[in-house]
Amino acid sequence: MMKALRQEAAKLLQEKRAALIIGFAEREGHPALFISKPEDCERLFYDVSCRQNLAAYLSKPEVSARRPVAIVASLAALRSLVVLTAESQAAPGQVLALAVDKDAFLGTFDVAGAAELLRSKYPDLGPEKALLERVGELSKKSVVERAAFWAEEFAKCTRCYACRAACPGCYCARCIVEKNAPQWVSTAALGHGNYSWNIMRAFHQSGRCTLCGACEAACPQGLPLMVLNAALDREALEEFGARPGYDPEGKPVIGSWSAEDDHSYMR
Amino acid sequence: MARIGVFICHCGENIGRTVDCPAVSAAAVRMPGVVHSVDYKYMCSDPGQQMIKKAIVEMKLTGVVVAACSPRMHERTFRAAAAEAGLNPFLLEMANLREHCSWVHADKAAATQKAIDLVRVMVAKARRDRALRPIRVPVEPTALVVGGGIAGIQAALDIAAGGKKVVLVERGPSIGGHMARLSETFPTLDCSQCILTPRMVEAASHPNITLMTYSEVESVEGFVGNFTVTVRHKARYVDPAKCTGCGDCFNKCPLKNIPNEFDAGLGMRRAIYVPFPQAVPNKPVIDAAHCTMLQKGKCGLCAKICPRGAIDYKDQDSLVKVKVGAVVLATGFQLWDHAAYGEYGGGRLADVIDGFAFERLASASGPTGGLIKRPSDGKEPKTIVFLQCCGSRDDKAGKKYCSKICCMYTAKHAMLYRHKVHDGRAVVFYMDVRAAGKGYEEFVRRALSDDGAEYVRGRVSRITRKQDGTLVVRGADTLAGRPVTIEADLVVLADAVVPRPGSEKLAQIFGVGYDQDGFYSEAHPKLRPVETAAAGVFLAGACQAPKDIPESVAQASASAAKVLGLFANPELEREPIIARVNRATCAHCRACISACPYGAAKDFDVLDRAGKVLRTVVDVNEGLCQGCGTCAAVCRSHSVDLDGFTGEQIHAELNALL
Repeated sequence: MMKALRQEAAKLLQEKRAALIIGFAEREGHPALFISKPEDCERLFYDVSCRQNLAAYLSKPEVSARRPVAIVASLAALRSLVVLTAESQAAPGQVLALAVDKDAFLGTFDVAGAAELLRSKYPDLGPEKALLERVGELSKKSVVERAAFWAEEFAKCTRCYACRAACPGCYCARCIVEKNAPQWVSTAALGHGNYSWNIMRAFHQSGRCTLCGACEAACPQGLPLMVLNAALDREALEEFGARPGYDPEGKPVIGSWSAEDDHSYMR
Repeated sequence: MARIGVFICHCGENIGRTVDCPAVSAAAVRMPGVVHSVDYKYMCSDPGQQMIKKAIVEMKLTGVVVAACSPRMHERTFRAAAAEAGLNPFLLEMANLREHCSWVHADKAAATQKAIDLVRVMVAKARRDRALRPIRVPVEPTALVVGGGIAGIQAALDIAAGGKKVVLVERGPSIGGHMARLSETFPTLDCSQCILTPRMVEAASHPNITLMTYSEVESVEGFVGNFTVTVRHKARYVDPAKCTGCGDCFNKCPLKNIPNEFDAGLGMRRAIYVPFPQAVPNKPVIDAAHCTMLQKGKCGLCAKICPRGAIDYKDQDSLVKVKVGAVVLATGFQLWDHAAYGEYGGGRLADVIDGFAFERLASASGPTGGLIKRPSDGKEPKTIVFLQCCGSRDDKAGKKYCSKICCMYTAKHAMLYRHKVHDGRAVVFYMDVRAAGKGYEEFVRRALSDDGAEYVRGRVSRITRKQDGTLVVRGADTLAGRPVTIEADLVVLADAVVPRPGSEKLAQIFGVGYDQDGFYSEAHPKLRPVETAAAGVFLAGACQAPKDIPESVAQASASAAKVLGLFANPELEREPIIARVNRATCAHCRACISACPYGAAKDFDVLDRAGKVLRTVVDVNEGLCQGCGTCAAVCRSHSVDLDGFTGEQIHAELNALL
């Protein structure tokens, strides 16, 4: 599998279909590897312990200046690529994905191809069973108990924003948490500011999160961020039928509407 | 450095009674940024406005807070005053001490404290106000009139006479409305058709008026000066361009027994029909619910007969978009269904009829040719009992309000009956006789003295039918203080006036308010009686409240004057409360573009001097933006703000309260 991935990456560079390949290095923690020479493709590595979502680099100006770009993409990263295209953050035709799934190399796809692959072979990607069970357990608790659980978890947050840096969905030029006129969210790593930040981060991903797990993997404090993400993912699916990352022209759940929406609450 | 002036209004006693205005003024002057504070009896009066203007100039004010009534009432007034004194009008804010404070509280000390808080909030906002410039948008000088009754016709004719184009939309197959159904009209007893039908013809033939009958408003987009209205042309199954109105089709249609709505069900029509001989346009439609061809695919007689080949059974509803600058709603009324009154037969007694049914009996063009015959057996009634306030002034089973026109038309009915049946008895049960209007009291007196109508003050408790068909009316004569029983051949109920079905939906389409009974709300009950809360949408006739013909016509002309006033300017000034995108932080995720209900948010390329695209962000079209703030709500990085209501201002307002 690794051999096929490396050969394909080298071929993309040789044929100038990509000027930059973003993949994973073999060394501990599997950091991102930026390759522009075909011979360096031998250093590419992939297995399931590579938890970073490389689609997060696509909206960085340093990367977009070196298009066309190809990324090594897990299924979740493929979905992120589709979401980013829908949100005009990845120029179609300028981005390719070297798709991988566990120990298989699936081939090279452009955005349309990636969406087609997802729709045909993986039409119902969602939270894993163990994660859903955790969501289920937590939602059985009372509101007070749940709030106490999260208060305890969020108290550990140091506001390093590693979750934000790891997330492909967090590409704002200036995050709202860093705006100070007005300062909606307290930046001190304390109580309500931590609460606001973490809830807001999850909420901003609702209907957009592809459940790649990069945020939770990046968190040095071990916050169970994926529980929040998975809960909102189910909410978006059940209430609005939203499954992000399948349609490069899809509209966001928050921010789209139709005349057929339920109006019964209005009079 | 902010220099805010605070002006506290007593609103006569309205605010002053519950709020200690001098104390509010004393507290305001100590608020950060406030350099001047004063209270006065009527801030909206000329001396009040002069106080504001003088202070702006002399105290070099950079912002003003007027603590008075609702901004809906007087923000415009005070902003105009500020502008006259040279201050940008959008640097003036209003704190609502009346609707939000004095009117809803009784405890003076607590209300005063709340008033101080409200002033502090608006001072915090005013300190962060920016000068804004009004937005100028072109006006489409065409008016839409919804409803082709006398009010709609009058409004359309007046606007057309003013030289502007009108689209007149009518739900039914003909214009004319209820007035076309009336026999004669109070207080002069002139023939309704004789005065109405020439107007109908004039409306149809006027070069400035486009008639859209058998059509309904489907949806509306846009705003004052620039509405795009989608109108549904219902399938007529008759091509009006080919049809000459010869009438062969509806004389031959084999379905003869469909109750004609126009005749209140007393007369019959065919499945292909014109509602009445003087209809405009005088071209038939096919009633798809009854037509055997359309229901079962058999018959097709009218298509065979039609010499012009105008019948098209495959006709479909079509949607037409019209661009208009102003709208007049004239959707009218209908009569309340007295089936709710079980004691009056619950709508099951054939000889207990409503006012419109009597109009059709008395009308020369009605199903009886103007002869008074009762529906059950066609016998001429020798005693008729008229009941006023049937469903009106009854907040339990009916409507709370007075329907206004019934006293007059009942007197007219009694009179018409006595003119036609000289030996007949007309008995009128009434609660009060309300005859306020020119010549109205005299008219009722005439019914009593000259035409011998018997008026009984009291209510009827029960109407029952005897075996021989006679109706037994049991009631009370409250003046004599005794029960009365009258044997009648016909009973006419003066049912309450209620809005047309679907009026609430139409109000929602146009963003117009309506009351609990469904009547449309005017912008101000005294000073803006024809405008609505939706700019550019005006009211005419009984859709607003029960009205008689002269009142409907007067309001229609008033609406027309408002429309013509609006159209007198080629451009319209609009409040610049619109969204603004911070291009420096916009990440171009396009959430606002898909969220914007007005299509105002658009891609925008940031170019360098050579014209090269540096970045793409979002920009807001000033003409289209309505300032709803949806984009600001969906923007994750808060890169969209609403002018006049910025995040910074809202935040400051909240902080001022904490």
